[in-house]
Amino acid sequence: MSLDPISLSVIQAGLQQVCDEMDLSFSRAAFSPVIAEANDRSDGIYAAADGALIAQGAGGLPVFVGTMQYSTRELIRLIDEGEAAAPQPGDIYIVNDPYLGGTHLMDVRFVRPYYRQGKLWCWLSNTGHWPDTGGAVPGGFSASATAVEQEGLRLPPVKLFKKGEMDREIYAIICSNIRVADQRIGDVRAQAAALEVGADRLDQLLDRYGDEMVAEAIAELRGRAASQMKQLINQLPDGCWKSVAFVDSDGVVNEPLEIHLAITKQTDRLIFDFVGSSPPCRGPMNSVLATTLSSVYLAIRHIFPEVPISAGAFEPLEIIRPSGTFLDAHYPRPVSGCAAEVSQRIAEAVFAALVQVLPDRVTAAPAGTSGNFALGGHNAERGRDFVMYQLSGGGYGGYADGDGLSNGCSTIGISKAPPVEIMEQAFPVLYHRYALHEGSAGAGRMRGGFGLDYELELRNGSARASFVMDHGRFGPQGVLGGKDGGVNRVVVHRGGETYVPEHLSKEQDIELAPGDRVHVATPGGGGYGNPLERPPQAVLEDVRLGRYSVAEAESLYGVVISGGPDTPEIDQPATDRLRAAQPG
Amino acid sequence: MPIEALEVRHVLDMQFIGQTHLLQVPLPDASLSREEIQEAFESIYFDRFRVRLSEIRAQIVSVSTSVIGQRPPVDLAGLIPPDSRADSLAGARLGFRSVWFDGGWVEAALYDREKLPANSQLTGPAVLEQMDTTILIEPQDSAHTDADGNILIQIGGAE
Repeated sequence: MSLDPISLSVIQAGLQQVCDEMDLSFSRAAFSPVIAEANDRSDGIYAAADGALIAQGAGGLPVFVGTMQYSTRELIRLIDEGEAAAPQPGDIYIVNDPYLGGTHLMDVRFVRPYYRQGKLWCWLSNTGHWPDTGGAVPGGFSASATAVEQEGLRLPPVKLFKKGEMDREIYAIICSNIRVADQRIGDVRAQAAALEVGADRLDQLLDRYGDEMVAEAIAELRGRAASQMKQLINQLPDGCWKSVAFVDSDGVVNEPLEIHLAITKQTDRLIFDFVGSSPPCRGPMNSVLATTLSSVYLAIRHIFPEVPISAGAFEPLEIIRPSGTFLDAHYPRPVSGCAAEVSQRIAEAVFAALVQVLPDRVTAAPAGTSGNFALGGHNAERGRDFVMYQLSGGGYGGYADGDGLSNGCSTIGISKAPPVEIMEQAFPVLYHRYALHEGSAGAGRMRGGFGLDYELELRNGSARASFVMDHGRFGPQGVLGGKDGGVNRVVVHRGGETYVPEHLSKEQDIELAPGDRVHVATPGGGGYGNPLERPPQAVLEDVRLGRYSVAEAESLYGVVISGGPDTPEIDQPATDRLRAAQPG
Repeated sequence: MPIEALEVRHVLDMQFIGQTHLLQVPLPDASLSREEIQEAFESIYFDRFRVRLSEIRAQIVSVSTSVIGQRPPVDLAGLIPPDSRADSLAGARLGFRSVWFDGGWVEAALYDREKLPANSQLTGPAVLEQMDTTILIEPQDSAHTDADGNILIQIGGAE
């Protein structure tokens, strides 16, 4: 290799920096809180020939890691087949078709060809979660759609920008099919401009180090990521590990969907087989292939975070195409739950299988839901329509060295919950509560983290609430003797009545009037190890902080607490007796 | 140290209406017209985000003025007490240690980094110890210490 290690490292960081700047520009310039505050977006660099991932921003949504390389690959294929127009400098394609390497319709991708000396050198691409792309419900998370047409406007790759100029006609078609279209132009400009910033920075990097040297570094980094991943896999004993994970329901048919996974290790490869999983479903909990692959990748990345993200890291992972299951859905199956929910159940299945062989590296199941709550309606005070999103955190799983994080972001996200103050300014809502979901942490020697508990009120106008969440029926799995985390709960208080959705975690179009309230409690993480081995002092601390009740300390952990609410203390003899009386 | 000059900076925090993030717009003076402020914001916005948003109105979120007193530059070399340095390289040397390089053991000199004299020249292999890290100078490499306490390492094969 003619590249010295220092140059290689500098170029690697340089490519990363290009992506990070795209991420930052996109968020800082965006208008929708879902992008500007919740960072539901991602930016990356992809190989000219096959769309293989070269680098991706560290602040991007992890589930987009795999998907953008597939959408770029599909675009290249369509261009080769003459189904999409050939690229020109300054063009930007827009695409959100889930079946062309996508996720759900709201994740809108921009893809920009990047040229050096008149030759296509790579692709710059980003994904932004648009607050609305039309369809049956504001926000796109129709919990009961049975075909993709009900979920929103589906765009094949078309050039929204041609030689640097936006095509006003295509834009007009888009605007005529989405809600609050007048507020969309700022986000569209921000998304396109982020790629412009990326092109500028990539120019600087290539001018400084030379096109050939950077190309050589990219190839070297890909090879290194592959061999690093192979080495890690090689250290596992040969074997096959199985797991099952459940999605509450598809939103239409109130039956759980099953993900069956068998992971086999063969020398330096891992083979993922989803045979036995449920068939495609009627409701929107289908996953498209790109999302399924990406979910496996991101789960592996959670387990082996030291391997840098590039296409090389994924080479040793062989995922058998899950044909005939809901993890490989085709047109016109509805898919709005795939990116946010099914992806996390797939990751949970990967964790549950690999914790058996890597107990020091893998956690119990995390909350594993994005907690999507969309509220769309009319703000009477301001005389205009609005679409609001609330994404929420939940508890992480306990792990060998510690308790799970409380109110952490979803497995597939790095999204922050938008600040309550921003939400109350932007939308006609008032938060009455924003707290930890008490009692939700799965019991274990290392307990899970606690979920979130919030309640908000519609202040004026009218609105419709939709929920696409999960783990309402089954809590996140505990492992190695740990208990499951607490389930997700949705309760709507309207007109003096209390309403719980039939599917527990999924429902759409619940009409709200001013004064009505929505109460959501997100899942806690699964516990790790036998709860009876948890030090009583740690249980007391949670009781002291109000996170577990005295009764929960006793029933979950066999720890008896006396002394009243102000001065709780451990009753050691009673605790010893209780713990001794419980089976192992 | 005396204040040599006063600098007054006027800065506006601005955004396009509907955004949550702000951009700082430094102003040349405090008496600009609305058009001049708009122009300053749009130009800074374009430099940062490569986009002009003629469709959307801008707004001022906050106004701030900072007054900064400028003092003469500090001589960093003065921060190192002269008596903390040794008079010679030998005085900073802690001993020797065997280090494995390219398939063989090599005797490397071991130095206390804090005691290295200014403007001295070291040749690898050498090990520099300090409170929070260890610096390895490989065979073929050389190092130079400057008055401010920096160590400039010349990689053997580098041009």
